[in-house]
Amino acid sequence: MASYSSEEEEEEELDYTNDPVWADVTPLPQDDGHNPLAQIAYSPEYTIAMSYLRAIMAANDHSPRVLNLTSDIIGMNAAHYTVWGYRFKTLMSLDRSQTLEDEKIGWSWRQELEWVQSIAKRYEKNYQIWHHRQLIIDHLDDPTGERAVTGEMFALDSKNYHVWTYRQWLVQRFQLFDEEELAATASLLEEDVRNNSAWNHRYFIVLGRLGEAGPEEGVVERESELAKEAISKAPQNPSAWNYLKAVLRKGGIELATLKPFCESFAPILSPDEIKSSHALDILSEIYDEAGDSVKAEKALELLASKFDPVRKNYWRYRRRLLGSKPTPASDTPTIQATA
Amino acid sequence: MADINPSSTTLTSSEPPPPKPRATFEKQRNIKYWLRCLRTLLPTEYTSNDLNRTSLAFFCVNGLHVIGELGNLTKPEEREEWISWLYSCQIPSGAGFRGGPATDLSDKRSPDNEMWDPPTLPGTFFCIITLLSLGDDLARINREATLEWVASLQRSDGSFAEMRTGAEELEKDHTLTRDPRFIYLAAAIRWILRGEEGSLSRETKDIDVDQAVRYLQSCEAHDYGFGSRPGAESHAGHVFCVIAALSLLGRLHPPKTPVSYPIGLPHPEKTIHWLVSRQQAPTDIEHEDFKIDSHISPPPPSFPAQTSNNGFNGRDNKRPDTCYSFWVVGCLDLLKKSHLVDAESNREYLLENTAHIIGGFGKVPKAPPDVLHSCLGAVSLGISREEGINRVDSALCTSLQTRERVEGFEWRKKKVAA
Ligand SMILES: [Zn+2]
Repeated sequence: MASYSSEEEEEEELDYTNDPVWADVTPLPQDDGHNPLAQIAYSPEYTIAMSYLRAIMAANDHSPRVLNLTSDIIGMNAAHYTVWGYRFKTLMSLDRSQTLEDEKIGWSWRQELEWVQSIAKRYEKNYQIWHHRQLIIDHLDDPTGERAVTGEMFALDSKNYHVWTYRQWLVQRFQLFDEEELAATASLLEEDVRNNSAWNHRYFIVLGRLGEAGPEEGVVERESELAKEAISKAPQNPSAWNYLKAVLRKGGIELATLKPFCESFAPILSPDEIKSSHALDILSEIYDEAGDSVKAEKALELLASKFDPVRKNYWRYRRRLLGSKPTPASDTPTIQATA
Repeated sequence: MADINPSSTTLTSSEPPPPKPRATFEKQRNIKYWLRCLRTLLPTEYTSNDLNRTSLAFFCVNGLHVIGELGNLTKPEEREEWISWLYSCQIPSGAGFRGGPATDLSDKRSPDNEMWDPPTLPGTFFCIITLLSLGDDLARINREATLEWVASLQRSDGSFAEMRTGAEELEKDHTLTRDPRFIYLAAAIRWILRGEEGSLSRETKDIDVDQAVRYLQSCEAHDYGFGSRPGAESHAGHVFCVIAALSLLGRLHPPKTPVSYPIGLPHPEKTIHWLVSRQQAPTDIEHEDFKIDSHISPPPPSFPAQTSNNGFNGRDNKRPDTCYSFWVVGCLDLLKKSHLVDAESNREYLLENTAHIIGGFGKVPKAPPDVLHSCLGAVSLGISREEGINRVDSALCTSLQTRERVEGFEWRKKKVAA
């Protein structure tokens, strides 16, 4: 039956009332009661498809026609979590009876994945699509081509949270902590050095999964150089500063070693040359740790009065905290992120 | 945004330009907006929320409630009918609410198919808060059954499932969603329904609070925000869920003397830094090709950045968005630090940039209003005590009055032997 193929499926309108495929089903309309809240102006197509879905679910029907019904509904409401779950269960049951790829149904997991990607491009902000993909790839136990699929999505929105969540799962599930993954984050950062998602992913790849063991020889140097270079290009980029601080912390390197680097962006004695509020912020911490409260206060006052006045209440609060170093206990993470 | 460029104005004296008039919260427009949402159909675009229609109900009812007009401008019969509708979303056993009527199998529902019509944590939370806003006392909820169902959703690592579904047996441990949202919702439902020790009619299995706290703490990211799971990027929505959940579990503020159980944020001062860093002004609303979903970062703010019209973004280098004015300021409020943000600047962003002429708030400047952003924009203003908006409770995202009413319910108090 050609109607299961993805191209036609998007175009074709299902005719539930006249198509003999559905003749045995009595649709189950939605009962909204009297004067409901948040009533939505459903399209007539959605209303009828949902009535068939309820009837099909009530009968626990997982026959091939469910693929058409569920794709029809997903095309109108991709955030319909029940319909995605119902579709996956149907696919699995067809797969188990080894009928999914036979002539009659003519569908395959690869076709399903292509269709899923076409939906993903139509509905970028959607969790269910990526969860469905995750279940399929896990079932197939094969990540081939999946990084390219997420790459296509990053070309549309390089910060798509759902896609990044999927990518992290992929990396973890198939142990892809490799050069290709590192290169992928590097190229995203080259395109947009402010891409915080890419910085976070890089941290995840390079340092995030380490347990008790510290980073390998040279990694901390390499990564802090990368961050410093990025900061030189864009001194007001919080993502790169946060990355730099985290890398040093993970490598057991004291914040104070950043003093000359920070002072090059924020010479507090020549305020006209200050190029970064983040450098001032770190300097206030470094000066405070060194017991130089005059300079620490100066850095915070420059932030409050001139370089970051929208946070002036915060910088003045920080001024009041000077000299009260956090106790070692409160600065040790109580929980290690599970790898 | 009317940034005045001194060189382009014809000032003859060196006097500073007169200050712009302070924008006001247009209460009448907001009332109209909410009454329209409550009494007429929501547009077709809301179909994507169909499975969480109770969340839309929450935003609409809560929106009018938070601005203090729900009781004045709706009829008692209307409110009764809405209460009935909400209870119709409760599943027959009384253990939780579905996300909306879309999956209701009504008289066809049976033990064989009920897994396709499950109660969900969002559905249950939104129905409960909405019932409370409407004046209901939750007497028709089976507290014990609901609490046990909530506890049954918890996994050994402390995280929670959103619901039990019919496809669940096909999941593996590593494919399951386990983000802080569901811990927050479970913590809120538990806080409301459990009440004082000894107030339930029978022994009722509780959640594992220690494990829930450990899981929340494990979601801390390298920059001290929190993401959807360990290793994920910091996101203000998840940070809110972490902080509000800790608050509702009574585990946000560590006591002076050390305790043996997990408590608090791992690095509270660093997380406060991350939160206040979210405040930012939009940088590209004047651009002609303004497109909120452009695939790369918006232009960075000027340096030093402007002090006016600073809303909040949800992640570093993203645009400000109305809802984060609540997620972020709400977090700081729970940490007793909301005075650290520039409330006036946030107010300017909301009232001058995202408040819509037809009432409500859009997600970003120039966007049409939607129920989520309209409700959360008002709650954000409520935290800073805006005139015409009720005082609010950040943990439950509703009026303080609602929280106080819950605290006063007799059924939440310890049963005293007669
Ligand atoms: Zn938003």
